[in-house]
Formats: sequence, C-alpha cells, structure tokens
Amino acid sequence: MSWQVPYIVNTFLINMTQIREICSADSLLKINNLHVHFVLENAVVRAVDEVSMEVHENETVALIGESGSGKSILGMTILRLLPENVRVDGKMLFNGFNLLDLAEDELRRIRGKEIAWIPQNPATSLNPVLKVGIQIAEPMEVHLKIDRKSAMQRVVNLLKFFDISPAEKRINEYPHQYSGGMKQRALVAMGTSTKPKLVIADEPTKGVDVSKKIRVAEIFRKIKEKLSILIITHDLSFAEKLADRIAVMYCGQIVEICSAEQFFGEPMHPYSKALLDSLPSRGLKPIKGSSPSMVNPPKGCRFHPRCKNATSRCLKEPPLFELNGNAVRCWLYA
Amino acid sequence: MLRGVSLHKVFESGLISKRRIIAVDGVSIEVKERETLALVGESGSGKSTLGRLLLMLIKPTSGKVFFDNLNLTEMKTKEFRKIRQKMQLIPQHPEDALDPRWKIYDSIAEPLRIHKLVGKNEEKEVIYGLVEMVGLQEEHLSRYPHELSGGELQRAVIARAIALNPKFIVCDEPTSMLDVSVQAAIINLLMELQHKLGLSYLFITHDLEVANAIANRMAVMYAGQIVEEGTKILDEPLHPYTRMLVESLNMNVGLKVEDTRQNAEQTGCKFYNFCSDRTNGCLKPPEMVRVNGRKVKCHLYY
Repeated sequence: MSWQVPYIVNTFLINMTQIREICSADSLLKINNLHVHFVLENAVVRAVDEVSMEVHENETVALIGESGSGKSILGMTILRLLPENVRVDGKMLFNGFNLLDLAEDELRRIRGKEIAWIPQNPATSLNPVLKVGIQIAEPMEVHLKIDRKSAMQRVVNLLKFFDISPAEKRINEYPHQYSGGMKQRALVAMGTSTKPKLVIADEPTKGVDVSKKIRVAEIFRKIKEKLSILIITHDLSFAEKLADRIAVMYCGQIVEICSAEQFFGEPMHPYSKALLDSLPSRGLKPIKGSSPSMVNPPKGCRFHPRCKNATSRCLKEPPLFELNGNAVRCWLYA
Repeated sequence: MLRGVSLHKVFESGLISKRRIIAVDGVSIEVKERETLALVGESGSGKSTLGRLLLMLIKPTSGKVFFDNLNLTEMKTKEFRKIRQKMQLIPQHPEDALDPRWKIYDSIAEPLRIHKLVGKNEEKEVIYGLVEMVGLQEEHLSRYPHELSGGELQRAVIARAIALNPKFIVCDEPTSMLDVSVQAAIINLLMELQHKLGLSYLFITHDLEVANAIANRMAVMYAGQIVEEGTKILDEPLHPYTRMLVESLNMNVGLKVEDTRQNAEQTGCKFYNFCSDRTNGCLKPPEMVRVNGRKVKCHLYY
C-alpha cells in the first residue's frame, strides 16, 4: 500500500479488529516487511528495504548504523513525516492499527499524543520567536484539550522534573537564552508532556560533549521506565547505557537485532563486529571500503564487499535468521 | 617546536558597557617535534581559541608564540606569511571549510597557487600525489563538495592541509561529526601521515577515548586554563576535574557542570563550585605544580 491510497473507514475498522488479534500482547510497535523507496527521475533510492522489527511495551530499542544507512528515514516513516512522493510498502502496526492506512486527521491524533518525536537538532527545532513554555504547552493544549493556564502549570512541573531551573522564570524565556543541553531537555519535556506510549528520539547526543551526554542519558533513563523508546543513534556508548535491545541497520536493511548485552559482548553479524572494532576503546580499526550506494546496493548480502568472512554464498541475499530470540542477516548463521 | 607562553585572549563586546569573555587565561603549552598533543575539554573551555592562537589566526591579548624559536607575535606580516606554510589547520566542519562553488581540485591547489611553489605543469602531479596519499580517487577531484561524503570531505581538507609540507597541524575536532567507522579511518590516516611526513599535531577533541588512542601527551582544559598535562592521564587522573571527566566515560556519574564560561570570571580555582575536594585554600588561584612528571593546577598537590 502506498501513501496515496485513500482512507476508507471500513477497511480501517476491519483492520483494527483483525490486527488486534494477530499482534502479540506486549508488542507496541510491529514493523513488518517495510520498504521505503524514493522514486527519482532516473533512479530509485532504496532507503529502507525489507525491515521487520518490534518495539515492546516499556522497552528501549536503539537503532544504530552509519549516517546514510536509512535509520532516520525509518523513524520518520513511523510517524509518516516523509514527503508525498515516497513509495512505502509493508505494515506498521502500532497498538494494532496499521499506521500506513490511517488518514491524515487520524494520524494527527497519534502524532504527539501516542507517538512523540524528539528531533535531531535542538538548536533548530525550537521556534526562536516563541517562549519555550508556550512551545512545550502546545501539544498538551492540542491533545489533552486543557487550557493555557493549567498547561503552563504542568510545564513548570515538567521543567522541574528535567532539571531546568528556575522553572517559573525559564518558561518565559526564548530558546536563545537556553544552553544546548537545556534545549535538548526542553525538547524531551515537550515530547513526553502528553504521556505518549512511544518516543522516537533522533540522534539525541549528536554534537553533545561527554559531560552533557550524561545528562541526556540521565533524562532518558528517567523516562524509560514509563514508556517505550526508539533511539536512533550512531553513538554506541550511549546506546549501551540505555538500550534493552539493539537493532543494527546497514544500507537500508536490519542486519542484526539482539539484546544489548549480546551486542556489546558477542555481536553476531560481521558488520556489528567491525563497527565495535572501530571504537577508539576497542582498537580504532576502520571498516575497509566505503558505504554502498542505495541506488545500486551490492548484490546478495549488502555487506559482503567489505566483509572479512565473505564467501561465494554471500552473493545470494541472506534472510533474517532467528537464533534464540535474536535475529541476524548473515549466512554464517544459516 | 611550537611553544605558547602565558597566552591570554579576552573577547570584548558591546560599545558602552563592555562584556568581557576570557577565553584563554594564561596558558603555556609546548608541542614537540613529531608529537601528538591532545587538548581535551568541554565545549566553551577555550580549546579551539587556543588552537587558533597558536596558529596566530587570532592575535593573543597578551603572551607569545614561538615556532622553532622564532617569535611569531613580534614578526612582520610579510615574514610571517612564509612561516604560515609550515602551520596548518584541519577544521571541525569540512563542509564549511571548502568553497561550495569550487571543485575539490581547485580547493586543494589553492595553497600551492598562493605560495607559488610549483609551476602549472607540476601542479597536477603534486595534487594527484596528495590525493593518493589521503586515500581519495582522482575522480573526486572534479567533483564539488556537496557530492562527497563527510569522510571524503575530511580527506580532501587533509590533502589541502598537507599540500605545503607543513610541520605543525592543529586538528580541531576533525572527527566529531563523523561516524565511528569513518572516524577510525580518518584517525588512522592522520597517524600514518604523521609517520610519513614527520608532522606534529595539536589534536583538539572532547572525546577522551580518541585522545587516549592517538596522543603521546594530553592536556586537559577547563574554563580557559590547562588544569592537567602529561602522559597516561586516563589511567590515573589527578585533578578533580579530570577525575570527573574520566568517571563520566562510563556514564554512571551525573556531571553537574553547566556552563564553563561563567566560571571563567571566578577568582581562585575555576573549578571551585563543582569540586568535591574544595577547601578555603582553593579561593586563591592555584599554581601549576609538577607531580610525577605531570603538571597539575590544583591545591591538593602542593
């Protein structure tokens, strides 16, 4: 199905009842065989290809991968924030609803209310001419239908919770009066103000120093008990501290999904191993070759031109193999 | 080889009521031949300003910079131009450092053309050599910056920096915007070039693990001052601030340092407000003392 399919009430209702039964009780978001393709004049960019993954209730999943691996596009597809000309196929079940079937006004009730998005760049994501308090109050006014005054009261409590003090004064300040770390925390406050079930955070530690990264990690640890989080990041140490499970993306595909302990202890996929070996604390070994193109991805396994363990069977595309709850896309585990 | 002696830099803004920001506050630093000195610190601690002061890209408010025992601060612009060839900068954002309307070839060739080091015919040869050295292909030369990935851009910037055969390069967070695997490749390239060309680096970074992996010596900067300098700092940090930074590596301890800029105004030890070991003695400015071959600016080690 694609974006253009008109919304029909009947299909939606049928989907709702059918799908509720199908999906397992504790999975909040279930992505099934998702494809996101950008169709250009003379090429097709396969930004997300054959992706299936789940986010359970109260679980934190980190989606890691290099820039250009399609992880942000995957996040934006969940909220359908992509332009109209994108071709999307597959299923994304959130709480039993297929997000791809919903009409724009249905979606608007989910965005910000059920699923919140914490954008990548705090410096440019806040409106520079509006007071921060008003911006944080806005989703509550829209979704919870409360008036400005009581919304502002809640904003004060939120700012206190996220350590922005003095909260009463800070709500009347503009974004330029906030430091970078405070802007990041204000965005998290905004995202979590409506008590969503799922928060998608896009690179929350990009361009943040070590000491400030800890504060970002701290606030995510504060909120992770109560809701599900999908963290899109290439910061491995941040993912290690927060995530319950790790999903590794390479060239539009998920190549490994496993628990965080397994990933940092004994990663399975050769790409995961190579990625960890390139950390400064683990030897700074670069991965040979360069990231493949998404227009003409390598035939077969997409990592095989750069892989140490590549053999002739890697010319055939490996499926995602299931191995005691973990999944890996590599022939080594066939 | 390169030495900065009690460098100060004060930025002033405003016409009537001057706002003063002390970016660098009495720093003495030395980078030896073929050495990598890592300068670590948080954003706003003044490490980039210090790097620029050493290259004389900005003039210090007071203090001196020596390069091979030549006093750069008192040199005439014309003489200094010649020395500038020997000192280069690899900036943090390669995409901003290259002219978006120039092909990569022209950007790499520009320093050669300005200093008129090679003729038109040799130029091509020299540039192909440089490009090979930094691991780019010849086809990249005819592209524009927006057609290259972050890692490739950084390689192009490195090629331009080594074009004039420098001896000293300031690397200002060259990998902070790159992915881990690309970061590893760029750092390996820098180390290889150092070996081949006999370069000295001042490597500015906020990533302690990167600093530890590549540097011979490390200097820790806080609020415009160097608070600790020496080897193997990560194994045994002495200054309370360094200790806190090292502990923050495993991300379990919350750092309560908000904005280092405000602390620059503080008399006495700049770290006083956040230090767990503070005493009344810390209200007086601490001196740099030597402890086991390391320099520390803290009253604890008097």
